[in-house]
Amino acid sequence: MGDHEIQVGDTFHWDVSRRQFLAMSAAAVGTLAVGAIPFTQNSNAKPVRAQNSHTPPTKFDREVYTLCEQCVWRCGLRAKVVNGKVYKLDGNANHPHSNGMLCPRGQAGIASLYDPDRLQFPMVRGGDRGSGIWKRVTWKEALDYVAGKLQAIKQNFGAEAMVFSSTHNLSQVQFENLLRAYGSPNYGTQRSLCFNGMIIANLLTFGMQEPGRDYSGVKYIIYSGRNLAEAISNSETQDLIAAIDRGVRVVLLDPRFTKTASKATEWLPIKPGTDLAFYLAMLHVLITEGLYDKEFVKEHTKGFDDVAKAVKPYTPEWAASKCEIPAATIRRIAREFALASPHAFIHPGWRTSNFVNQFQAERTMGIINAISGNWNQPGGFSAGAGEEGGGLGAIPQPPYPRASALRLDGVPWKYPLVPLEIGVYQEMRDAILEGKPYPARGWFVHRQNPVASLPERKKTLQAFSKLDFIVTVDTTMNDTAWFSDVVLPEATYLERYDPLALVGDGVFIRQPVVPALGESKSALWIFKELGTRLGLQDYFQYKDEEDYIRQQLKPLGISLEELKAKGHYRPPTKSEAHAELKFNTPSGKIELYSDSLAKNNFAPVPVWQEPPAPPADQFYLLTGKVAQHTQFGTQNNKLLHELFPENVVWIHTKPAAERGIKNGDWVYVESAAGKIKIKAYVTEAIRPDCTYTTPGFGHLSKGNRVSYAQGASDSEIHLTYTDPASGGQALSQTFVKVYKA
Amino acid sequence: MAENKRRWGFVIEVKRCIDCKACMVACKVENAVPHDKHRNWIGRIGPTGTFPTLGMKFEPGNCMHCDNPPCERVCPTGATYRREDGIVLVEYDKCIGCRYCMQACPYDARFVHTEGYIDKCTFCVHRLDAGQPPACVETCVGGSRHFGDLNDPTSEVSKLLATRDHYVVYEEAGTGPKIFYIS
Amino acid sequence: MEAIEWNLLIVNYLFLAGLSAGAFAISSFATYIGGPHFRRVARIGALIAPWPVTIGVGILVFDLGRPFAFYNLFLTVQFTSPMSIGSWLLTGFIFVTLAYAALWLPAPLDNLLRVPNRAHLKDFSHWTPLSQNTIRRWRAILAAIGFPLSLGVGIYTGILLGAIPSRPFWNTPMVAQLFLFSAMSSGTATVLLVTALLGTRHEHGYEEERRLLVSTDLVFIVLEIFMLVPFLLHHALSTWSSASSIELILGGEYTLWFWVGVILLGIVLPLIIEAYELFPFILKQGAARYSLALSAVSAIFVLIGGFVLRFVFVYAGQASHFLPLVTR
Ligand SMILES: Nc1nc2c(c(=O)[nH]1)N[C@H]1C(S)=C(S)[C@@H](COP(=O)(O)OP(=O)(O)OC[C@H]3O[C@@H](n4cnc5c(=O)[nH]c(N)nc54)[C@H](O)[C@@H]3O)O[C@H]1N2
Ligand SMILES: Nc1nc2c(c(=O)[nH]1)N[C@H]1C(S)=C(S)[C@@H](COP(=O)(O)OP(=O)(O)OC[C@H]3O[C@@H](n4cnc5c(=O)[nH]c(N)nc54)[C@H](O)[C@@H]3O)O[C@H]1N2
Ligand code: SF4
Ligand code: SF4
Ligand code: SF4
Ligand code: SF4
Ligand code: SF4
Ligand SMILES: [Mo]
Repeated sequence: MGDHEIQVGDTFHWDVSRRQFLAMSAAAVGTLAVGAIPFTQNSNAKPVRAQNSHTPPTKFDREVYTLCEQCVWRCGLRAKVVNGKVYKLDGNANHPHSNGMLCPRGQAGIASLYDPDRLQFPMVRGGDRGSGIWKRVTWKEALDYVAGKLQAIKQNFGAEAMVFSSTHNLSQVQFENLLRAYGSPNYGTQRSLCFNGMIIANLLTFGMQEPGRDYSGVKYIIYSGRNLAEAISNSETQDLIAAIDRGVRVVLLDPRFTKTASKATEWLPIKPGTDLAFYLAMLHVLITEGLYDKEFVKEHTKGFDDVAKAVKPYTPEWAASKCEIPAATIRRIAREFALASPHAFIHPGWRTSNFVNQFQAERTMGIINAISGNWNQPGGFSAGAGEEGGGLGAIPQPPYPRASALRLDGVPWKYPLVPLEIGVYQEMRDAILEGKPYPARGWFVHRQNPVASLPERKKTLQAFSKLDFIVTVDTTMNDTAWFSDVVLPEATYLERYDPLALVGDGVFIRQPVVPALGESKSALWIFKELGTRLGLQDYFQYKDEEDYIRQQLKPLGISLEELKAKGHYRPPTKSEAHAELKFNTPSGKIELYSDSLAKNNFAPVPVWQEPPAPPADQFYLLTGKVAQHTQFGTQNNKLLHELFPENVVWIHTKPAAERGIKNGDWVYVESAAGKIKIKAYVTEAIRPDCTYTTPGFGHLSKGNRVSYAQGASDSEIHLTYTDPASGGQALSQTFVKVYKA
Repeated sequence: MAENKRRWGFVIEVKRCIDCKACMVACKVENAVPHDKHRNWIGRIGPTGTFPTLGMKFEPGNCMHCDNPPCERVCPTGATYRREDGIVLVEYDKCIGCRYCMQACPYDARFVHTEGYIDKCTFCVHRLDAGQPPACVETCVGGSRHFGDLNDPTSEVSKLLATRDHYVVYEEAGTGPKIFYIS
Repeated sequence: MEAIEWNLLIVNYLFLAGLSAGAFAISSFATYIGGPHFRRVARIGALIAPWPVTIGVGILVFDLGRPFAFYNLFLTVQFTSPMSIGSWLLTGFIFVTLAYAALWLPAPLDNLLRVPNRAHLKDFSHWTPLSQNTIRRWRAILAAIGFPLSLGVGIYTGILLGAIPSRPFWNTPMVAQLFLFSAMSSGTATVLLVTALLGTRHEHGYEEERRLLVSTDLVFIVLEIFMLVPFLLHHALSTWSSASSIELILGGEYTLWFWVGVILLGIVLPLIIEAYELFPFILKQGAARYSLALSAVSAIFVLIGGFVLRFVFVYAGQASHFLPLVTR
């Protein structure tokens, strides 16, 4: 490329030409040395002898309250700006998700903002998909092109030929608005890869997706695989540690000795997929020994007797043979739990996508919580602090057109219990590949990385190859963007507005801390521009981002300027604390027995469902987060890469020795879907029948120069198994061989 | 309270540390620490034992700002010095980069900055002097790191030390470290 | 400190400074005994002495993280810092060795040593050579000043390491002595080597010269043994950290270097050779069996041993820790 600056419209290789891009962007926004994290800032403050010119700044141009987006927990933060650059991010003490603290990923946010590899300009593919050859275009060209494609697909094949997908984010309402106005029923979210088992079980039992949990008065907690010390949800992680510090008993079921396990009072290395057996036996003990809240059961639940009858056979002795936890332990834990109730709960988990019986396990956990009467009790459950409502103003919208086509993911015709907005994402690809019930033509991805996050990566790429058109809106050239036809650069969370966020009774704002780099734009702007070009302008009745928020704020009586200065607003609380218990189920009660399940030919009360197990020479392949990365999106962040540069596969000492595998050896991990080469970590800290690796590595995109080909991708070898009840992917159900490379 | 009466120190609750390393990133950004270098760390002990009886412990650390610092003693230029409030600092312009202090520090708290001088934790003096807690303490997700004036009986750190068993690392050396660990 | 911070450059520096100290010490000793027998030893030692240490200091400055800030060393005296004291000591030593070496320039060159003629103070173009008497007097003076300095430099290289409590391998008083004796031994060995290479031009005093060099070297080697044995015992019988630190040389990374380089090459072989040369004399059974070839070989062994000794100490010391290493 030489010294030649890229001209709009030139074809270039993204991988090698970022330098020129960056030089241009620096000129465009007048920032300093873009591309380098501002690690050598000087300031004029000289408070101590030793520091001289090396003293970090203590005075800032401005400090801006906004929201983290390094993961979906969305903590409040305070960004400090020096010389037009973000210098440091601190937690916002007024935000209930951060309480003044940021986790490592939140702290590392500036390395995402100033990542020299991030997207800054709209680009259209200039070579084969995945070749890395791109053409830089103007926004007008990009938007016209995308809108033209969308329009053509709709006209020629119907709106249902377009697949839309995105992972939870604040602008998602407008993405959903766009796809519904456009008229497609095909919508994929991360949920079925994540917590479908949990939320659908909760919906059917309690009539809500996720009840709130009170840690302040809790005395006993049981976790099933929830690894709060590593899979961080900032405030809840803080709550757990505080609880442990207070001496709360914490029992953790996980086949792996996680960092949370090292903190728990009791770690039980359960056999994967058999949590259901453990909880059935617990339920058995509680009921046969009468250790439950009879009053509460009578008042607030429905179908207790059916449950009692159903769990008769599930003695702790029976469960012990399934889950490999001694019967006496199960019995003891059941009794301890009952003793601590109602100040006790079984945590419903989060990424509960482990086995096809996950829904039953979640139901059983929910039922134990319910009969223990832990609702609206200190240390119990409550109707969760939802995200809906909050008295915000709505943006006016006409009704949506009816989308009558069958959904490609089988909702509801194959998955009757799964709500439409939740979906069964991983099933979509088979439909695309088979062209049934109809062929899909395009895929619109926003803030998501399906190539990396769906199981069977090859299958996702095959599905891509069936499509005429793929567009991705992201901040980085992730693996999905790399294989797209058009990439639209969204401004990062430190450079843009999003719709307001509600947490509990508080309203929180995301606002730009610094001007967006290059030509990156907010999602609100992008969706409105696209909508307008598609003739859907009536669905996007906001002039710009600030106007959008002003409309939201109207009923609250606080100005945008005030909110921006304070970062949050708490409307005066209506004192309806602990109103009467009402559940949004058909019966208005907690449904221990569910008619909806019966009607759809699912067991209405919990029953044992035998999970598959690996053949003798194979292992379970477990997946799970590490504290230093978020999913598939932070591996290119230099600050995080430094702390956790690549993944390894855990294998227990004994099977490793049998295979001649030593710590640090290269091994192949092979499933029916393929194999990956990865370094082994030989450890006592995992069941001998299991292996484990963290996701987010082995990236295909050469656009991310730090993370490209570092470590290996477990999505490459995960098989697609779907729980028929919840539609949740079963991520622990892939079995693998491990052998020396 | 007059500045010279202060005695700043850390109290770290080992049990509360989850090895998330938010403190390491916070320190790095706050103090513009170069790539691949760190002013603080999380020591890991374990996993110990055999399946399924396992243990693991995390011991966060950084410069202990010793009352009797061997790093200061051996420094040939006087670049390493103690402030009145006990904070041990390096005057970067005076430092010649001989690394003698690194040999002398029993806690391996020092490193060579890319610019050749020796760097280490400063207890975030610039933040202290501006009335803020150190960056690593402020963001500690597990609530493991505490900071304050050891001479002030009403400070959080003093109260923790008054009520909880604690230890210092390598006490025999007589370095007088000012990070106290609660196990 | 996960990596080795002080590497081969520092090893070289310590070795070269010690070598100079030893060369100066033997030279000043020879000057003091006086007499024509030892002239050659005194001169060779004097002419060698300034250079290794100067190169060593050059290496040291080069090794600094901020070499151009080295002058900060000389803006202060830090009494608790062996390195600060050592820097001043080295500077003084280098000046003395240079002056002393100038006074030992061989015959035609000593004419270069001129001073302004007192009678023509106003006419600086009129310089006269120093008289032989003046030269002799100043040699004696500088030898007297320089001798303690050379011992200081020799011992300083050891104190530099030994004064560090946090590296248990180093932290015994034996290291200072050991380094001193090793410095003396390698300085002597260098002179021994040079004399051997130059051959015997003057028959007169040959016996005395060899005796001085070989026996001095032998004495220092024996002294080294007297330091190494207690060093090992001290560690082996001490605390966990001490005991585990000598694992590094007893059954660890530096074992081979230590036993082959330091013990075999640096001590046992020269000891055997030099004892073989001297035994008949010591036992009064006849003349000593001095051989220039044997001298050269033993001197080379001693020098290798001295270098490896410093290598082993610098590296093993840094690898030693007071606490079991926690994974970071
Ligand atoms: N093997 C394996 N697979 C898994 C999991 C696992 O543990 N192992 N976990 C599952 C779970 S729990 C989940 S939730 C899913 C997550 O699956 P995905 O949502 O597909 O994965 P993420 O990596 O979170 O993708 C988020 C993308 O958003 C981009 N992004 C970040 N900030 C912004 C922004 O402000 N704007 C825009 N436009 N883009 C942004 C990032 O660059 C990243 O590419 O994966 C699931 N899949
Ligand atoms: N640092 C960090 N924090 C995050 C995220 C992140 O990417 N990084 N992502 C966020 C998101 S989207 C989510 S969904 C949550 C997920 O948070 P968690 O639900 O805590 O999920 P994971 O870390 O994916 O997996 C948890 C554990 O499940 C165990 N496991 C596997 N199979 C079984 C089984 O059959 N039974 C039992 N009992 N355990 C099993 C694994 O060994 C693993 O340790 O984390 C959130 N927080
Ligand atoms: S948990 Fe961490 S990454 Fe997630 S929003 Fe909070 S600070 Fe950001
Ligand atoms: S911990 Fe090390 S660097 Fe810090 S004061 Fe003590 S000896 Fe010096
Ligand atoms: S490296 Fe700098 S601070 Fe350390 S001893 Fe040398 S001069 Fe002092
Ligand atoms: S006190 Fe400041 S300099 Fe020291 S480790 Fe913490 S953040 Fe870093
Ligand atoms: S931030 Fe706190 S909990 Fe996290 S690693 Fe550091 S000390 Fe431990
Ligand atoms: Mo998730």
